[in-house]
Amino acid sequence: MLQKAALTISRESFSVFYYKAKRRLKSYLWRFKNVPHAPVTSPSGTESLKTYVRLNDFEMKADREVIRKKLRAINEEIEKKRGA
Amino acid sequence: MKGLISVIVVNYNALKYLTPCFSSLREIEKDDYSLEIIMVDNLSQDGSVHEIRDNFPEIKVIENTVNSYTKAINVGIRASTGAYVGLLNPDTVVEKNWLKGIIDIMNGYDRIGVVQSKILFSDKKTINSVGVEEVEDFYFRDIGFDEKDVRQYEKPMEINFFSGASVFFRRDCLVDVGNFDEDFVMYMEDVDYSIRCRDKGWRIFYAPESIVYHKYHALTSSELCEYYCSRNRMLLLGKRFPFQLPGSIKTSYFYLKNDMSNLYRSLIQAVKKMAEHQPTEIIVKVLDDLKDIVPKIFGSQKAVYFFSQLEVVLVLRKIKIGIYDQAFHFAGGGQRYAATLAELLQDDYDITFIANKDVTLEQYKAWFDIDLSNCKLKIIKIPFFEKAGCYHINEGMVINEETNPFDIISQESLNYDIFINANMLTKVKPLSVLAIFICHFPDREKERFFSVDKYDYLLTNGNYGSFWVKKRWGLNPTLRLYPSVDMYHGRNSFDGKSKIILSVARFEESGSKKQFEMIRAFRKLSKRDKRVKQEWRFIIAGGSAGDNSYFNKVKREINEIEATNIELMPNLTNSEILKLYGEASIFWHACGLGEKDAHLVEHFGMTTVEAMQNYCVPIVINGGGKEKLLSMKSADSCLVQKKS
Repeated sequence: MLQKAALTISRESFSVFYYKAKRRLKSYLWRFKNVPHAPVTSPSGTESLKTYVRLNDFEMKADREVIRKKLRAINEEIEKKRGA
Repeated sequence: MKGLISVIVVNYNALKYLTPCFSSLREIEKDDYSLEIIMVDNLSQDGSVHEIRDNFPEIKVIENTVNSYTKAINVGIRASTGAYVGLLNPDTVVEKNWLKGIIDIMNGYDRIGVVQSKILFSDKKTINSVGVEEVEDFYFRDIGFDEKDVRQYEKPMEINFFSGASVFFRRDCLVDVGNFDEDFVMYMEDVDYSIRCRDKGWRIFYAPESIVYHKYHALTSSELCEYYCSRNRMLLLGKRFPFQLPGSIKTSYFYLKNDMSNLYRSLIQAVKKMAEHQPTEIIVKVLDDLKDIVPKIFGSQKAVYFFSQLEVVLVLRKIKIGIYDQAFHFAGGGQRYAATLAELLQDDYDITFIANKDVTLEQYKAWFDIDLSNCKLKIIKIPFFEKAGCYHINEGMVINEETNPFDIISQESLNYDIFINANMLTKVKPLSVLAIFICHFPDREKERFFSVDKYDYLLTNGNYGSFWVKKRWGLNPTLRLYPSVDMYHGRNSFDGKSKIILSVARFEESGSKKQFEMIRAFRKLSKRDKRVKQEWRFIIAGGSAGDNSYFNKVKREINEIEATNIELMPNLTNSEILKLYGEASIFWHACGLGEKDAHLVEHFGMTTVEAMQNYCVPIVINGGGKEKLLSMKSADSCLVQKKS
């Protein structure tokens, strides 16, 4: 599932979200690892992170503010046409 | 010696082809060059790595960390030291003259940066590739593909694009042009690289004397090939020919095959690629063109998603997450589950909690010691429940209504990239780009307005919930995310424990947590054994909101029986509960007692886990989620049969 998600941008946001959530929750749970005899439950049978393709670092050459405004203006225009 | 030549073979589960390939490499005429062979393995599961290490000790084996062809090439190139670097597919066998044929051409002119072999199919009669050419609309094909080899390509020739199945690079060319683009993963990375080589003034040649036999598509499915070729065509356009991108949509395989979801995703990636490589004016112009085309192809709603999503993809804003919980206004395990997630993610995401009743985020600090200070809260009151004067939002009340009262929440979901339905309200239809349904337990049958199947991801908190989701709704949970448990008091043994029996559970109006029954049980125990009466205390802690009739009933019962060793402790803070866990020796959880279907009332039993974490001996009902919980090899647990 992770691999499939990572291959597609629309799923990329979830991949990152899930990856981070899982990683952090895992470390959160493992805080108890060193507590002697503490009951630690670890997920079994979950997807291997080996198949998770990390997103490449992204750097945009263009003016971020101009592009942001452009995208918002486009959506306003589409919404306006829809309304009409 | 004339020098060193490196050959890189990228492998993924190609064990059966590797031995003939590497054996043929041992046989080639090296023309006084020495050969360095590098195999980069892409997480194969067929034992290739061990096999090659054992049988071909001269080969340098590198294990890649992901399964990506282009990344593997870059890894291999970085590890290589030769003046010429070759790429060879693993499902090939080379002729003796394979290397010499290349070197003869390379040595002819120092601006020849790339030389491709003559690639024949394994029948040795049919041509696979003698170069690559553009056909039309940015579709590319192998020159000579499927033609009988009748020596029609016997002369070296300059080509525009090379095929990566068998090709050599001059080291200077690789240094000058740089890495292969890893976003391509596989397919068309060679076309991209060819263009970049020519941009830098390097020439690409075909060498007819260098012959290799190729199995072709022995290792990847044609479906995968088609997907990557179609997607990467769009990436290439975004990167190199941005003005052609909008016009290329309708000639894409995805469009022609009506595969709109892959078309949508690939287009987003292509715009991202364009943004990485092109200046502001070009991006603005292309976006203008896309503004006219995208709504026509995908519809206006999806077009709005598209351009909104681009803001996220281009890192112009954080991902917006909306977490809806109709019971956000009173404390419970489900609320803590979602709040813990939000607390962990709030710095990287723009998180808004959507509640239906008045509550503050500060309340979560008091209830659970969870800091949600970087989250936002939006309270949307649902007229249907306001009119009915309900404190609890019970979707079971929605039976014959013409319109769905939860449509107001569906509309709100439009404002987020990710909408999380955190407390399994089945009647909210998500309209966000991506939607996640968290199900602690499917306690309702499929009813009118049931929308769980509209979510992209269905999360459960364990195997037990997953089992019931499948059984009751016929849906397959996408993944499990166990609840986090962070209630350890810091005592790592039974030392310091008091003679306290503890119960921590919400005072449900329905009485499902069975505090009343536990009081009676404790009273019986006290009558039967003087030591219990004199030495033990029973503490009943839990949340109670508003004018709670069940809580009042429990309170009355304690007063009436005048029990001095039973204490009622409603609405304690997190640290107070934590202290109790540390002190208590025994934990009682009677939810499910006397119930025909225990699974309907207790789905997980978080407080039992918390108690166990603090070395309390749990005494629980053998049914529902706890049954699974205590089967997790935990020590000191004791199950009470329902009948006892």
